Amino acid sequence: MFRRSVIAGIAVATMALAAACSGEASKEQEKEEDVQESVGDYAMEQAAELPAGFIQDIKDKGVLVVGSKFDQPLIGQRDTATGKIEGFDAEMARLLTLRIFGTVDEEGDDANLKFVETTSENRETYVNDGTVDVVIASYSMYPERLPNFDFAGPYFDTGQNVMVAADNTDVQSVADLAGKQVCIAEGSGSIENMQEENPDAEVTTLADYAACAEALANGQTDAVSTDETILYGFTVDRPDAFRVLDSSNIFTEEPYGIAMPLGETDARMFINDMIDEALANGDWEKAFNLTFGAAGMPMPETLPEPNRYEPF
Amino acid sequence: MFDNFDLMVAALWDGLFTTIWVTLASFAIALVIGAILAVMHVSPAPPARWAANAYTQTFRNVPLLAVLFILFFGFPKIGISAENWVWALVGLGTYTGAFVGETLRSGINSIPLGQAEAARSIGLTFGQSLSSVILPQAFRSVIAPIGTLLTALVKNSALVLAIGVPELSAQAQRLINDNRDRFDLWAVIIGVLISYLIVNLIISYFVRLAEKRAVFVR
Amino acid sequence: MSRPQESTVLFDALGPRGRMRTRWASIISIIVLAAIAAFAVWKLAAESFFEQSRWINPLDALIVETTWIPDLLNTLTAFALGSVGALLLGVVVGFGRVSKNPVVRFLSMIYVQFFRAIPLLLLIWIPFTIDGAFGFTTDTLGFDVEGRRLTFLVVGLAVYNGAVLAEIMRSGINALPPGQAMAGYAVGLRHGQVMRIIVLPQAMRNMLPAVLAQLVILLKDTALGYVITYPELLHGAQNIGRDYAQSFLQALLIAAFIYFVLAYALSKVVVLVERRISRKTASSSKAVRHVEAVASE
Repeated sequence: MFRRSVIAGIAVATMALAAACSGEASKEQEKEEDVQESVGDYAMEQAAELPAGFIQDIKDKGVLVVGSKFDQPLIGQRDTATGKIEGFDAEMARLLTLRIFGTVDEEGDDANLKFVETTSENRETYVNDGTVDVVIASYSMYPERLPNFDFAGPYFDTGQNVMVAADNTDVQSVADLAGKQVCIAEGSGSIENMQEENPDAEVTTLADYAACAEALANGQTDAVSTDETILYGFTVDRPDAFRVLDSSNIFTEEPYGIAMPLGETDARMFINDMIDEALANGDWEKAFNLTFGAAGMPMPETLPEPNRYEPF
Repeated sequence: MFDNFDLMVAALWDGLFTTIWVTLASFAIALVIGAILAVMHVSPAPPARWAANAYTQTFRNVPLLAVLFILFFGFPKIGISAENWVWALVGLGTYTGAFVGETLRSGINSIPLGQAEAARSIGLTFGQSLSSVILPQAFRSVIAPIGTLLTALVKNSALVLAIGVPELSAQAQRLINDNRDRFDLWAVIIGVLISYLIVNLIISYFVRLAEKRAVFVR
Repeated sequence: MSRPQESTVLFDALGPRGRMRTRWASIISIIVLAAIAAFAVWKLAAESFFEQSRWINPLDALIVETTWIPDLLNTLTAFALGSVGALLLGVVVGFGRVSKNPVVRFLSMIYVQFFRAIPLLLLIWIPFTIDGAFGFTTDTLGFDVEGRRLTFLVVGLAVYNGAVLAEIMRSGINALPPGQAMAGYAVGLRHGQVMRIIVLPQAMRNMLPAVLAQLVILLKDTALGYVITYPELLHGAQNIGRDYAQSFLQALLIAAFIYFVLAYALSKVVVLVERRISRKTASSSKAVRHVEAVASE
């Protein structure tokens, strides 16, 4: 009986593997093989001088460890076929790696850029405990967060908006959410923003925004609310399922920053210089076109401007 | 050290309350499912035995977390929608039910053959001998293992945080992750550990009480 | 596997009318179940649940290679290390539970009571968070992220299941009739010798099925690694479901199926071992069943 079930198990597993050959991922890879990968196109060069301390330490240990989202299309998403992290946050991490090391190598043991999955819940813990060097994970540099971490950036400006099912015509503004269920990721700052903007909306939390999007597609929640960039990413995957409210509804400012432990002013200024450089030499635009732009998002009218605030 | 102590206690208390009612409600579901499964296991109709076996094997061999996710994201696909906590109860109840069923079955099998023979020989039917002779005795012999399942259920209820039910563990995580500056790490951790220990002690106390009662009656 | 002679006493071999009734009841319930299943299939089909691409995309060769297989290996690694740790802890603490030294007995009792009361989820997450706050493994031991996540998942699994295994050990030893040990003492063996030569070999036979059953549970519990984003099987499935949003549920079901195959195979080993070793101990079968019941968490 035992042997029979083992054989049956192996047979089924083999069948599954045999079926596994020609999904979208393989087809896409064939297409992409000739196309130059994103890295290498950038003009960013190694900085002439690295500030002592935080940045020099990263250079010395030979690897930049970046905390990033693995589940947000266009921002930070792990491609389960190639293992690469894709999205604007990931491109910023690559630019920073170029700035520090002059090259980007994400594969093998000698990699000088390593991504670690962080969620809205644990990204603060990870910066504090040194699990990661910096967090680039759609992390807004709110004024009240500035005393807790050092933030470089913003490298991108967005704001909180609302996404509903495509066939939902009731909700046209944030005010229409009164009495409706709004799904937000556990630990996200969007929860408080929503409660302030429309206290009558019923906020429910799930582990991450991908789960919220799935719940919305299933009709388990009336809306999902967070940064427009994140919502935009989900509409790319399923344009027929979701509708993001008009941008005039944006009700917060979400300046995405690069977070590191408190007191690293030199490192913060170094990364701010990197962002300025990327904006000046066209690398920022390339990163945008590779991610948001490729999904059809128009180039923002005003570009972000790093905030070189005084240390607390 | 204890900044915002009252806020922390309020949040943990909320979570503890949720943990307790989620546990008790899903335990009730689990007992019903378990009893049905046990009867099916010993039933004269083979399909009933097969069905009970298939059910038990499925839930014993798939992680609870996967069960919760599949219920939560799967049922809406066939047009059955419900609040998050409903899926928490259904998930915990159906999962624990499989274990209750197995425990009851081994309880039934532990009743000496003579009991069933005696019941049958005075002319009781399958249903009668099961309900008035076998099951009451079986229940007594399984009080301790069922109590173990109840304590396990308290712990398993921590998983429903993954489908958006804010029970005790979720509250603790939220206090620590969102509010590093406002709540003391140690206070939250000690608070949540003590809460679980107390719940566990209370359950152990009642299980022991029930065991004593049962022995007395016999 | 079932013990038919024990339960069939509950009903006579069915006569023609009884057989007919059973058959009708069976047929009706099968029809009802089939109708429910058909409804579910129909609804799912309307959602294009069965569309080929939704199943093929998450099973694409590249994804199997980059995500399914590495994450499955991560799950098995955590399972293997966690099992070894849990068995070691279980033996040490289990012996402590039956030690002659009251202090050791008390400490072991505290260990078991404490760790059996706390959800495994927290036993993984709390040490991880405390360590994070002090940076012990990162700064002092120089662990990298993967090592840290694996370490704390394994420690949680080992500490928690160690407590359960210790309890199984204790009831396995207690399930032996006391005469066995007494006989040992009577021929002049010391406590340690009695344990080693007489009690343990028999207790092992009582315990083995329960221990293996607990290992099946440990295997399933590796899924809790998600709480510290350890890249295990279920987490991988969720990542795939995010990559291919249309296959969200499909990816979860594939993962559940893999767990099922692994756990089912492991539980078949349990049955096999159970059969091999039954009736080679002085304990009654009732006492052995009691040992098994301990493992049901």
